[in-house]
Amino acid sequence: MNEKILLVFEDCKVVKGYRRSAIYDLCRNEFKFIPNSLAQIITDFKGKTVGKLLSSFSSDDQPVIKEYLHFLFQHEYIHFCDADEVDFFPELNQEFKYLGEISNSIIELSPTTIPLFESIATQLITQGCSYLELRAHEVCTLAEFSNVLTYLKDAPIRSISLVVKYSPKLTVATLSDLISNHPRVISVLVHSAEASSFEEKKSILFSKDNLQRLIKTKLPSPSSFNVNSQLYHESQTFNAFFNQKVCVDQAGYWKNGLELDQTFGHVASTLLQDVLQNSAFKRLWHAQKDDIDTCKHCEFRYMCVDARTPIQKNDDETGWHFKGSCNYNPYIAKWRHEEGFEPISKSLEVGVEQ
Amino acid sequence: MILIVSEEMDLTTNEVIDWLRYYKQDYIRVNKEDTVVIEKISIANGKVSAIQLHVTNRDLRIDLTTISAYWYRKGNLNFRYKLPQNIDAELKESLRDLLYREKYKMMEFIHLYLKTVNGIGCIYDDARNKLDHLLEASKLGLLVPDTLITSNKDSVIEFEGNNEAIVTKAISEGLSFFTDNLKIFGYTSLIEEKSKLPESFFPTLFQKKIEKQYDLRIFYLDGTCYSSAVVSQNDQETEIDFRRYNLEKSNRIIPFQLPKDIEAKLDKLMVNLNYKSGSIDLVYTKEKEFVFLEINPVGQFAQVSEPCNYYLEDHVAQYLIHAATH
Repeated sequence: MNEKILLVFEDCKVVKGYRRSAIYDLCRNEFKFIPNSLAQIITDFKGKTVGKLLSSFSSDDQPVIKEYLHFLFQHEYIHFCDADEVDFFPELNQEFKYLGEISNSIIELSPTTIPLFESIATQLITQGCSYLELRAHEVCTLAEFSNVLTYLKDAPIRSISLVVKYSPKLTVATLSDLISNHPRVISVLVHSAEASSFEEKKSILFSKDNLQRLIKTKLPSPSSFNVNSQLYHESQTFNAFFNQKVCVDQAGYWKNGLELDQTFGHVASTLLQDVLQNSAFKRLWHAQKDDIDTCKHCEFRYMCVDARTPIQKNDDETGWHFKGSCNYNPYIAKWRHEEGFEPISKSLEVGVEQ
Repeated sequence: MILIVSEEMDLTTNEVIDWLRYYKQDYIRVNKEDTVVIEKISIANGKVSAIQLHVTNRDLRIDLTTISAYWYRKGNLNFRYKLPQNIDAELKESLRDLLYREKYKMMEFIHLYLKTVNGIGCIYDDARNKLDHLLEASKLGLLVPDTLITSNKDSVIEFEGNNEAIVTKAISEGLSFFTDNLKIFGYTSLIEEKSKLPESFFPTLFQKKIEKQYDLRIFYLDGTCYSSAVVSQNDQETEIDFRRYNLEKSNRIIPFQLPKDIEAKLDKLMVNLNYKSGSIDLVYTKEKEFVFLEINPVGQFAQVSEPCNYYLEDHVAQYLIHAATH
């Protein structure tokens, strides 16, 4: 056994955090926490012999090291080969490719945007958009929704989510009919309803809450975490929330996100292809977690789709930061609801940088 | 124009088409579910000047002589025609035979024509012969399992005597049979109780069982091998300590790099067999040998592409675009 080479399965990625690390199991879509000491061992001894690993530690430490190996093997994170077989196991290709410039979009439906919808839809489709949310603050009729969806009928769009304002005509029955005619609609959220209810089969949710309350930017939480190959690789170079996203607000302006003030021209006068030429539009796309304060020390950074808007630092500094504190503090590895939680303090972070 | 022949439910075709769209390439997809009518085949002055098809259910007209690249993924062009009604029953039978033969020859001509178009595959790839592949691979110096086809028990017993364990598998595609109360899949299976074999039976293929370390799945495209290994820790003779391991059943598929000499032989094999692309199965044995099992020239590749992040659908699309312009 000592001459065997330690290999980590290429779909298992160790992501180091400040206080602890995580192993992302990209194919099985799950993760486990590991101590930083183990993460370091994996980094240092991957591709080396078990003998070399064991002999690097004192006999006092050996039981812990063996326990570590047992854990990694038990969870099928590692395998072994002989020295003459190491070259068989190349690294996983790190590339992230997406077909098109735009992958996802939120369009606010309003008296301004509905007449322009055909043009918006055509442009989104041309740019490769696969995931679309249509959001209405005010009451729209079923006919309006149906008309809008008709423009998307033959489009290569994978899924459409509808967010609509309650009116007595919008019932489970009428909305089910709408979905049946437009099978790419995967969910409907009805806001400002008289009562809350959920129809599971067609995924129609009625909520008493108003839209502002429902779409309030949420802080990261385990429910926004996803362990998968695409997100992992995208997050290495991009901000997974803003990358390849374009929104159109009620007033008809192109935006990175609906909650942002900055606009990139009006739909009636500016083409999406011209918006995409504007380097300022893609600035947030590149705000990757590795360049954001705190996030860069967080073990969740390649599984967290973080809806907060990063703020670029002053010219003399590189990188990004968020206003306000996250619900998770990676420096103490605790969530807000956990005992002993402290908000991230500036001093601690500065200490880390040194 | 790129022509793709496939089936409606084939996801791999959808994904390659997504890439073709991304590269703004024109394509036509015809599925086996479509109904195709031959409108015109015209041969004059030493060349085919028109092969006009009408896909009637989508009212789409194609002239195959304008096709610059062709991908035969699976399925067929489904040419439908009507027999005359109200005629003598026996005559109708003869006519049915005649029209079938006429159709067959026309379709054969069309597929022979498509075979000359740049691209990947043709319908005749689907009619591959595993025995021929085995022989060709062996001629090139690739290891292949000892193989015997026999119809009698004594030969099986003798064959097993020379090998530790033997398996059997279909020479063709194997059976997939489903009814409400019976499901049969044609897997490679171990011969466990040879005494239960009848004295004679339908000729059946037997092979020496290989003690594998990894199953290797390779997608080959125009000279490049995109390889993956299916790794099961249960197949590894490894013990970290003396505890019993309770491992999950699902295996991991990881990228694999074949030795250069094996890649060169596989390339030669594919060139000799005239396959632009295909899925190749190898086994890496406990004796550290690479053993060739089979090629499927119209094989799936999603199960190699996705876990290894190879983006093979993009490679296929780019190859078709290249073929269309050269």
